[in-house]
Amino acid sequence: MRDVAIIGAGSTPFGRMEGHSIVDLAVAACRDALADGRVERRQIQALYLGNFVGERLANQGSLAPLVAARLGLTGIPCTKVEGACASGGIALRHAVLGVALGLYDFALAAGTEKMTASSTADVTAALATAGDETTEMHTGLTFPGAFAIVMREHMHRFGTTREQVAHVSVKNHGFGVANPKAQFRKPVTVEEVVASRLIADPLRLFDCPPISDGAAALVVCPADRARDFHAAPIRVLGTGHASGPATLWESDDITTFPATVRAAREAFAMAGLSPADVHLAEVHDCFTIAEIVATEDLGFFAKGKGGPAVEEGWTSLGGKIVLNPSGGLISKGHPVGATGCAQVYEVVKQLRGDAANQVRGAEIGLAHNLGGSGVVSTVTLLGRLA
Amino acid sequence: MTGGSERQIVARLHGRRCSECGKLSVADGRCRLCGSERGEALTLSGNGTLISWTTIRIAPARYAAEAPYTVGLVELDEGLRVTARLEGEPERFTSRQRVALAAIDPVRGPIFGGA
Repeated sequence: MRDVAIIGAGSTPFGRMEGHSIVDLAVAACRDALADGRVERRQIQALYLGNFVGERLANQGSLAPLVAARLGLTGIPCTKVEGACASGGIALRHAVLGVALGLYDFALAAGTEKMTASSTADVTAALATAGDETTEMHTGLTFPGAFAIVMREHMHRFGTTREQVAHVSVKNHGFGVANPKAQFRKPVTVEEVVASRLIADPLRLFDCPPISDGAAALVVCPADRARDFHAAPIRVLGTGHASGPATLWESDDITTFPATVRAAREAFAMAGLSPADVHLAEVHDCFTIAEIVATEDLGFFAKGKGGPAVEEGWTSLGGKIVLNPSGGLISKGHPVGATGCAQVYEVVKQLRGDAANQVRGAEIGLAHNLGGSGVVSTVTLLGRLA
Repeated sequence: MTGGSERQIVARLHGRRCSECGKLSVADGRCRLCGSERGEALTLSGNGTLISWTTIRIAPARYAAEAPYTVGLVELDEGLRVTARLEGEPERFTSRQRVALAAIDPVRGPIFGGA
């Protein structure tokens, strides 16, 4: 397998992008990534596009070839990837594999979603399709609900407190203030989080990400050609991709997501690294409690210690590992199909040294993308090209 | 259970033990954990332990009129888990309390209540 590097990264702002269709957003992010890498469009040989709810909320199928057409790339193989909220991470994984295996020299990975034109009830129903309708979602469970059940169990098993979980929201909203791409750019306090409106007890409004529009894109090529396109290429050190139970009932322990554990194991083994080597990570904080579970599953903290870790500042700037310096899904926004690529976009910015909340001396970064209540996960390890 | 008399006769939770993977599931067709059609039907006790739960306040469109409602994860005494609606005041539920099957809704599935 060839070494692969990211030579271009692009993203739209996240938020309510009125007047921009799901296709417009993808095209904007792709053009941004191509310009960043000074790659000519005709060099691109394949497109992998992450999208989850575009058919349902934006009435749009054939999304990948349509985006390619609007980029003037008709003819290349185009693949839409759907893995719930991990769609973007899986798209990148396949673009990287295509280049690593020598199938392509230049490939685009992107993710896009348009959600703000729909009602909250319709978005809730669309996102619920990530679960198993026949054996779980027919009960009326929602994704905030599933993570609320996880949160209550994490509190019961490990003594995690409501305030510790709220600290994830405080930290990530705090980071979002400085990120020009973020949907929420206002800080919140622990008191505001625990007094915000209940969504699915014990999860409250400020434990949740907003409903968002947005897109992000990445250009990958063989590492030995990367310097011709970008002065600071970012090497893909390792990638992992794994599946897990689609439901809560299938799991003996709902405070851990085996898909994350497996994907991390694969990525770390490929990179020859361990969690202690990572300086910063964009992890899938689709709800506050999800960040705590992710930090444990990724090996940054022992099981049950994720709550105290965030409360004591171990995941803030200057801490042991900085988590979600972009603001995370909670503050930056969560256009579900775009999130996986957007997380990598943010890690790329950090490793180039030009991020909004720059982590000093950042050399190794990780992006963790999760679908559903753990049905799929990707983990990507990135570092500066030596 | 303190349910009405109609409840006492409605609730029978059907399960199966797979003869291929050996696992129990709440289903009477294929095994939900390996897809095998070979298995033995059985009636589950309907008694179990509440692992965790939530009250849904923002519901998907089809259940919006029912919100708020409570959904929990129950571990049945036979060892398998089931995600199900809970009836009763959510403030009174506690982790690992005993619950029992109260009814089976044709769309929403089994409904448990405090035992």
